[in-house]
Amino acid sequence: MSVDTVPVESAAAVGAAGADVRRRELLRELKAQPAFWFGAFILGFWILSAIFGSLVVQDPLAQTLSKINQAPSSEHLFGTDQLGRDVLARVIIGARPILIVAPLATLLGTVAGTALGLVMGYFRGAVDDIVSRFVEAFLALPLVVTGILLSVALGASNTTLIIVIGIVFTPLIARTVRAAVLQERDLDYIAAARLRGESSLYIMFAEILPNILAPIMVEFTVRLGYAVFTIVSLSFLGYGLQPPDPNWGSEIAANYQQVAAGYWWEVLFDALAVASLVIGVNLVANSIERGLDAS
Amino acid sequence: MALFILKRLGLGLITLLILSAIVFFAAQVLPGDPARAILGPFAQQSAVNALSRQLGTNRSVFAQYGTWIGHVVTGNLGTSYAQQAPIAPILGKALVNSLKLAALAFIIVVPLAIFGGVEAALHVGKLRDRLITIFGLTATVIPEVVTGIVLILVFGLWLNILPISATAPPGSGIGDQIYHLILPAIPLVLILFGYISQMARAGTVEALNSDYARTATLKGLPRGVMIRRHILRNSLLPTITVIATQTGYLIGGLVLVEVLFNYNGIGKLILTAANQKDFPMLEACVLVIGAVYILATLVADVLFTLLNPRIRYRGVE
Repeated sequence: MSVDTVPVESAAAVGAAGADVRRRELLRELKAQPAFWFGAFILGFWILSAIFGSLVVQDPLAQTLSKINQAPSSEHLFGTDQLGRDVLARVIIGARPILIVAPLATLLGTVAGTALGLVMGYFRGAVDDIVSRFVEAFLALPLVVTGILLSVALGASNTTLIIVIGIVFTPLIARTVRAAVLQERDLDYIAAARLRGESSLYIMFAEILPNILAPIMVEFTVRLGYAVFTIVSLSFLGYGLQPPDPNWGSEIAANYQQVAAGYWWEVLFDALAVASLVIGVNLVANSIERGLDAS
Repeated sequence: MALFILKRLGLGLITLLILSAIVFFAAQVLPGDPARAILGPFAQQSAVNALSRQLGTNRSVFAQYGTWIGHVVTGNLGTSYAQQAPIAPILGKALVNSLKLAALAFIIVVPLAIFGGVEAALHVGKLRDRLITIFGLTATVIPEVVTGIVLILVFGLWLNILPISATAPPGSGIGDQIYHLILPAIPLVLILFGYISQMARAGTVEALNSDYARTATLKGLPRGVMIRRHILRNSLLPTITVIATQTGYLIGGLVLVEVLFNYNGIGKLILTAANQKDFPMLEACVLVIGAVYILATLVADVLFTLLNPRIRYRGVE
């Protein structure tokens, strides 16, 4: 910024100070909510399991062929699967790939979606119309179907999974960001920035972006829950995380046909693990959303 | 009014056209040579070339897309690589099966969710409201696979009161078919319940706080009559839209439920086509799903307009 523009204070600076206050208010709101603590506790448990789980449980890949399909016992608290592997170990270690892929995929979708939403909301007109049509076309397909289609096209792997979920989240997040940009773009500080002769790029990323971080943060946490949902679903169908490293979706897929034979422990614990993680993430997401509304 | 419907129809068609291009590109261009994919890595190049000519995949992408979309418009969805049979009849049969399952899920969830939402709204902030809301929010975020597995264990295995396969024996009557579809429908019901009940709750709360509701109360209308005559009609309007837009979500859930409960619907057909790299079948399925979704949102918009007197009369003026 040159000397003669100093009186016009940059919204980025104001935004930064405001954001600090807002962050403190949000934290105070969150601390007061039992739902937030409960969600954070579940999430923390699975994060610790993913990082330190291998120190506590048995080797999730070790097969004991003399002990296949064994019901829960003191030796194997959650029983063993059809290859004689310890189910408890596979459930605990199964958190790892999900907790790596879900945040990365959500981050990719959030970054790309934010950029796209900024462009759509700021330029409006033809760019907005054209991109909106594409966004709508994409949204006409359920996530799982897009996931299968793209995984077939690109070949299934963890990288593909991150890209697929990132691509699917991009238009969803772009729509939210676009709506937020539309509320900001006609405000005085944008007009001031234009008069200063700032470039569109600068206005979008340095002026508007800091002021719409709240809805973007909510989007991120909500989408994180959806990412877990999608990863588990696609992994169950064979188009997500790949075995032999355990993950909850593939575990259910590999064992659910054994359920009729009475081997319930091979799928139930994985199912409950998924349920607890998505509930935990969503409790945190809802608390943040409510906290932002309140502050 | 007619203009509005025409405009919505036009936009829907454009969306569908873009979708078809995306689908065609993803399924036909990205995976590489279809002839090579069918014949495998050890086939002679001459054989691959011959199959390419036969399939028409040696031509330019645009020419292929033109031929494909031309056929689709006339109702010819092409030939399945894997089954060596026309796609349309196979797809049609699967779609009917899926619709049966979806219809059952909707028949269960719509009254249940509207009742739950209205009940929560009538007791805003009370324990009943909290319980219904928390149940809805929780049920909505848990994947169908998870609820499906738990249901199979509890009702199919331990209590042994419901069949765990969705497919009734051939030749069984409608009652038996429904009996087999109850368990698979519940995961879909649970996912949908949260959205629809939240919408019904929000609409009812808004209506309860309105001036006309207060007028009705003040002129001495019994609460039951007031709710039936004044509240429900207004509160259910946005709910209709949500029900229609949830169709897209429902189809995504169908893939998982149909695989889990082994039911021959469009969801299972998609997965089979993907596993067999049967690209024409995959394209057709995905396109049909997109079309169903676009049609459902169109119907929702039109219904909303027809049922909302504020928009209806403004349109006539």
